[in-house]
Amino acid sequence: MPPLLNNLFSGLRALFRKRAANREMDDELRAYLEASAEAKMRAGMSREAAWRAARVEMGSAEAVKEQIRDAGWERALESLWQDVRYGTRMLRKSPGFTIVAIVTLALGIGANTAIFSMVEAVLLRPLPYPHSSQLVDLWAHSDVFDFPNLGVSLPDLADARKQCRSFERLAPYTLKNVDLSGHGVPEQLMATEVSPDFFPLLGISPLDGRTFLPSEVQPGHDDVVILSAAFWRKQFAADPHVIGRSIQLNGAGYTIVGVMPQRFNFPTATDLWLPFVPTPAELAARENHRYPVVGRLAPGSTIAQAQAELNTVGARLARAFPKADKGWGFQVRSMKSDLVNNASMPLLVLFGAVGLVLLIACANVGNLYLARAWSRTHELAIRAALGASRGRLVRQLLIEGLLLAMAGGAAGLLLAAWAMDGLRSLLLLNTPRLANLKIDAHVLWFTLAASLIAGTLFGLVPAFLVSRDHLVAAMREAGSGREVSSAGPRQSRLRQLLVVGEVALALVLVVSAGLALRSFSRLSAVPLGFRPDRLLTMQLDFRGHQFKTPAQFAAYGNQVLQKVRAAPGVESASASISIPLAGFRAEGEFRIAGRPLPSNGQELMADWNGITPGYFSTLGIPLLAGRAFNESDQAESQPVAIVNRAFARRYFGSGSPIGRQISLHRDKQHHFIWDEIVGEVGNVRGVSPSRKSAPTIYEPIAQSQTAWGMDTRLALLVRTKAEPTALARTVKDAIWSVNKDQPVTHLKTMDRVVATAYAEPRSQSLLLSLFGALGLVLALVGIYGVISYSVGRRTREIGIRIALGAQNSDVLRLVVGQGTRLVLAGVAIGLAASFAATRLMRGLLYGVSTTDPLTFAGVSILLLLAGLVACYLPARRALRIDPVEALRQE
Amino acid sequence: MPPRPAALVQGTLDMLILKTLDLEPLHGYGISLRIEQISQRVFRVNPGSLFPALTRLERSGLLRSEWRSTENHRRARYYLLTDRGRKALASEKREWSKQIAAIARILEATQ
Repeated sequence: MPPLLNNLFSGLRALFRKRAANREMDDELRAYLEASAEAKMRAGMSREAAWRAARVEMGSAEAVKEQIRDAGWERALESLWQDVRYGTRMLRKSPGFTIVAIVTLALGIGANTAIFSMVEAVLLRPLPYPHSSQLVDLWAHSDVFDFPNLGVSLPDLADARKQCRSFERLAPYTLKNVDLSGHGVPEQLMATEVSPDFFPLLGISPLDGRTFLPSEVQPGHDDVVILSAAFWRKQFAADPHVIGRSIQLNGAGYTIVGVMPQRFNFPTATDLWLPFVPTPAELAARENHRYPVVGRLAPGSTIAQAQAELNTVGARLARAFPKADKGWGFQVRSMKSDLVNNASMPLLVLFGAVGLVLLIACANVGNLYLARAWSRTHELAIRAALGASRGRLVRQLLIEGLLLAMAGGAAGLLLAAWAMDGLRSLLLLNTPRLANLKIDAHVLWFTLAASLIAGTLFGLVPAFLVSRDHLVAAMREAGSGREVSSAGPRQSRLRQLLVVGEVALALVLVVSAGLALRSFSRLSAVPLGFRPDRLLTMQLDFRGHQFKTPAQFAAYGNQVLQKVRAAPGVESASASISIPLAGFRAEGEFRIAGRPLPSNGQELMADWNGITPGYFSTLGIPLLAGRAFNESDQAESQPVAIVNRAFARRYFGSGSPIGRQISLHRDKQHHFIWDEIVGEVGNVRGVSPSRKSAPTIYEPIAQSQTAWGMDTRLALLVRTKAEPTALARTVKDAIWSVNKDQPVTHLKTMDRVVATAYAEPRSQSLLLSLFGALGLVLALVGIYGVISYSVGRRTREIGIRIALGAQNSDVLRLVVGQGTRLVLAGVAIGLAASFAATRLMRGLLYGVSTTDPLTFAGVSILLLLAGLVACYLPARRALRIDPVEALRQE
Repeated sequence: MPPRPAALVQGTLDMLILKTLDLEPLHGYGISLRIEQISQRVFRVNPGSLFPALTRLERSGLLRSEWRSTENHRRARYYLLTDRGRKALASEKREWSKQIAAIARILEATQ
């Protein structure tokens, strides 16, 4: 047996079979004695004398056994275990201290665990694909259009593929709505058409069946479909024999060839994958910048290299095909950072905040622990006198600290698990990947590490008290009945330092919370520009081939609207391409009649929306000048447009826009179609409550080529007379009375849409306030603890002062003054720290500067007042000190 | 009265034990007796040092032990040198001779 194992087994045997090991030692020692005595008898001693001499030579058998035991490693373990048991006993003996410490730590560690699990799920966990760090998204980038994710055209992609070495594969895909029929209520599904490279590129294999064969990504052979696990479960009840069955999509039969595993959900919310078979026209349309692309980097390539290569390719394409590609380029981003997008900053700010909470909790428990170690000086001194080394005593204190921290960590884990559902549903609705939130091994390791660090932090605080000199002094003074004082100044300085630190940290937290709250209240007060109450919104999706002309499209919309308006309980209704705050907007390039053509790169851009008559009145958007659209604005009549105030201000200054002409489109002969501006309406915050309204042009759907050509969906807005959700069924029935196969999706109230738009700032300010309050309470408990402890220790002194004629106000000043000095120092340090820390919040704040003087001043005053209260309570106890009693204490 | 046994030089006990067992397996008393005899009563090892040393050596694989009956038909734990132990003894011997020679040179130089 190798010596290490040998050592291990002997040690374990000594530990767990103590009795056997003991008997063996007894046997061996007895054999030794016998042999020794026999030798002495042979040398001529009497039996009795020989035995006595042998025993004397050996000394105490127990001592020898103890020495033998000391030779093994298990001995150290045993003494550690003794310390743990002793520590547990000591903690049980003072339940008040133990409970306060554990609850404090549980709050600190629990908050950290909860936020860390979010950080882990959203930021740290790799995507569920093999070698996922090589996966990238490829987008187009335009100098003109201000959208983050513009697609790539297929000819451009083909060139990029040919000219770039950095990619192993590139696969375009396209999102598409399909109707599922033959299953009762018509249903709209999210489908993604994918090229044959798509699945191999991601490295994902199906749960059942197979992915597409290259032969299936061909015209005429593409009637195959792969299901998502969620759809398979919902529609087919997870039927294991689903492969080979057929489903009806857009009225045609498709054969199911595969089912994807649950973890595969790309692009997000896809129900089905279909083969992507571009037409020759699509393959040649270089100006058709519309396909998202996924890519896998070649081994050893970096995103920077890929981007550099693509920049060269992009410049070459812009020169070669100026009509399609001038002002366009490529943009490559890691798939994960694309997915996480801008969720990382708010999460990291929250993570920082809970980190501060944990530090405050540690300082607090450290303070308590110091006081306790102090009152245990006597016990420690006795142990030192009995031979315990300083290291052993420090170890004892550290072990108790770690025990507390582990208990706190376990309780914190429970707290975090309990808070998890709340976090998921209540908060951060818009955060990607939050569905994956769970307590996994990484989170457990984090909690363990946080507990160990916390335990070590405060467990070592009192260690310096255990110097031998101090303990000797403690023994002597305890014997003389006097108060232990030799290390007093040192320990009270440390305690005061801890309180100052706590106050400073709490100030940073509360300032952050204050800024977030002020920002949120600013944001809530922003006029959205429309009335969200009693509004029902929904989306009607159309098949691309459903309408032949804009007139048909408009007629269908009109028919639906008339039925809906006639339904009982409906006040008004209208349709539009987009609605405010729903996450969809369109942008268009335009020109103004009578003004010179803008030079390249200076094109005029405006937000664009196609609407039906009644849109402004239904949404409650005020008409500022001119008229709204009406039923006489038809395809054949004079083209008209309405602009918002931001548009009028930007392009016509103080003049009126009414009667001016703008153009967004050209007709078939490439002549501009000029719209006459007939009205001006108020601004609407359409993208997010924090983003100012962009210049916007509205056109009647009935006149718009764009509305019909670009999109196959329509938003329906219904203002109801009463509670809107009650009318959902009525409105749907009205729609279905026109076309029983019309899919209706995204049905929700406008209040809900608005709440979703506010969800992120709300959750941020809510969480920061929660952590700020937690930090504040912990810091106040800390101040209270230190001051009341100090009053307790100064009872005699205060008694003497009272006996010598000190007034109540003098005593109050003495006690409160001491606390106030600490709080003031903490506030000063905290203010400086806040100036540095809140800069990180810049991107999260709306309408409030990161150094908002009102918040900084208000929070400082709040902390001072709260600190005064925390000091006042122990001060009142000082006032009640009876000088006679106090003096008799000695 | 025999002369008082000398204290063992620090760290030499292990080597002496190994050397003793190099000749034949012995039990605890046998080892201490043998050391005493060979050193002509200069060294005496008491059980409080002997047994911890034996435990240590056995744990590190230089010795192994087994219960046997003695020449007087009693049970006793005999210690045997392992191959590793034999090697360790050889290297310790070398090291020791080197040190002795060095010390001797130093002592001569001062005279």
